[in-house]
Amino acid sequence: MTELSCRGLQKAFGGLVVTDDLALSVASGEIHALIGPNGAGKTTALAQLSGELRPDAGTVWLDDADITELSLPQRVHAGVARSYQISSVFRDFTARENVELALQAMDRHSFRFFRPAARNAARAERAGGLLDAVGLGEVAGSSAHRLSHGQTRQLEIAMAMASDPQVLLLDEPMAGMAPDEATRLAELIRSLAEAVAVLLVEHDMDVVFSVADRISVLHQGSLIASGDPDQIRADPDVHRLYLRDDVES
Amino acid sequence: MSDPQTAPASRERTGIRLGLWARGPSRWHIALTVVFLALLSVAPLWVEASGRGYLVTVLTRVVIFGLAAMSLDFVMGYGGMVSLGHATFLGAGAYTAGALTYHSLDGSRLLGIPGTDQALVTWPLATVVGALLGLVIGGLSLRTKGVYFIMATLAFNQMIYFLFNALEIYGGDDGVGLFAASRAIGPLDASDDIVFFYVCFAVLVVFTVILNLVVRAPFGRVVRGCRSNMARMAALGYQTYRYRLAAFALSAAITSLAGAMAVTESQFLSPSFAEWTESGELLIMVIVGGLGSLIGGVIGAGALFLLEELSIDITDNWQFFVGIGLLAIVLGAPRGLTGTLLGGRRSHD
Repeated sequence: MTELSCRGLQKAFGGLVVTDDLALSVASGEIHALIGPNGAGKTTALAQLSGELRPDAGTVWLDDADITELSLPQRVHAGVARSYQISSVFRDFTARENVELALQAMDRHSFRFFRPAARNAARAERAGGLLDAVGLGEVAGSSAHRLSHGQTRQLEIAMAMASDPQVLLLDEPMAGMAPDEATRLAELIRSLAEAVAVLLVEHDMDVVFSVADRISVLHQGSLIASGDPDQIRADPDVHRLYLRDDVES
Repeated sequence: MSDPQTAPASRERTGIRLGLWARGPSRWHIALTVVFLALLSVAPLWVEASGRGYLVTVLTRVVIFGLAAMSLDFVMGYGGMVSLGHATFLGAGAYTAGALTYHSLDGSRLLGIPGTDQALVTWPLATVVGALLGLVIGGLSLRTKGVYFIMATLAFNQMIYFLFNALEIYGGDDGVGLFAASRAIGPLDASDDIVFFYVCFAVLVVFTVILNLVVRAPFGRVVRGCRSNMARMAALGYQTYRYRLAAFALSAAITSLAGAMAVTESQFLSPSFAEWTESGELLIMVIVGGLGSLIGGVIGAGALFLLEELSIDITDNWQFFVGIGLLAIVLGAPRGLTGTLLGGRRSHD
């Protein structure tokens, strides 16, 4: 059981407050969705949890350990991995090499100069397993720039999973996906969440309300509501500020 | 999990066992490397037999500056670090070897150490000096990005250049001749130009093999990943700065070795080794030969020196033709001579 949490998180860019006294938590076995209108500060919040951005104030905890001072790579090694809203796979590497590179990051160091990386059979097999798990086994040898948008999103997940994380921060994993692809990815995320804590930033409300165990709504940098999908659906503030008539079903 | 029964999986597995030498795309690249080095290895015998023995020293310079260009290609083509300051390391190597040689001829001491013109001492020492200087210059320059990195490397280049200019003991901006020095390499006397060519050629072959292994090794993958997407590398858990710095220092060390070889070849030490236009010339060699191919640096050096040799008979302004050739390549064959020869095949795994 692992829990990533933050308390009193504060971040401003100049005069613009983008994170205001934010408290959040996500524990293994659950999908916690973070939603809110554009500019609400979702990605900024995620960046502070992943270690890319330093908060002005506040603390980030992984269980009982204060990880606020850890950098992005250090947090990956501590068990917090993330994926990106804009696909950022290595385009001139094959799908397999992308995952192998992600696996290699877990070695204590990569100052290995002579033995070809492609000869590491154990790593190739693990990469193959991860690619199969996200449904990319067939295209393992294709260059990443040949993959479809949906496949690239799947590759993102495989790479994030390569570090064997306890906490997975997903920034709009379904962005730009066809509905059937999105459904499959939602199932994958659901199955990952059995062992891992998933914090999901997502615009697709159908996906959010179908997969999330908990939903928090961000507005102008601070939380206006947090609860299970039914509570959020029923919350009048959330409706007024964000959902309006989007989710009546 | 992958099914071991299927044919594609077993073919994949054979590929993994054979590693470097069996990979499809890189096989062509390795073939090109071997063919070019083979041609270069017989070139001095051919020019000698055809009565143009004076060209042997040109070929030696192709080898030496090709080695420097190859190591620049390593940081630039694979690591995405565009350095406009590699003449710094060429100069550092030249001044390390040159100063030691100068003091051995003079009988004086350098910082309490007696000089020597033994290449087995001066060349390795220059390599170490280059690595250390690369750590310092790279350590500071890599804190900047993009065009600022280019400017930082250029700024260090200028500092070193003017430092060498100020060294009156070695002739200041005129430099100093070291013609009485031997070309001793261990017990071997390489004062003969052909013998010296083959010594340099052997060094080139060793580093061609080393760098080709390095770019395919785990370290090389990390360096290539940093060129492609540094933010993502950090998100995978890599401390990108260390790997880029190590790559920069390795490149600096090899370039510095080339500088030491160049001064042993010319037997003349001057600040011109460290002039920033020399950095530009190395860049041109890499781009002409083909960025991200390693052997391209040597091919580029060959093309440049050959063009110089051919056009200098026609006009003193041979650089004019270099300009035309460079334009033709950037516009018509952006992947350089190597890319054209390989017909768009990827040059590494």
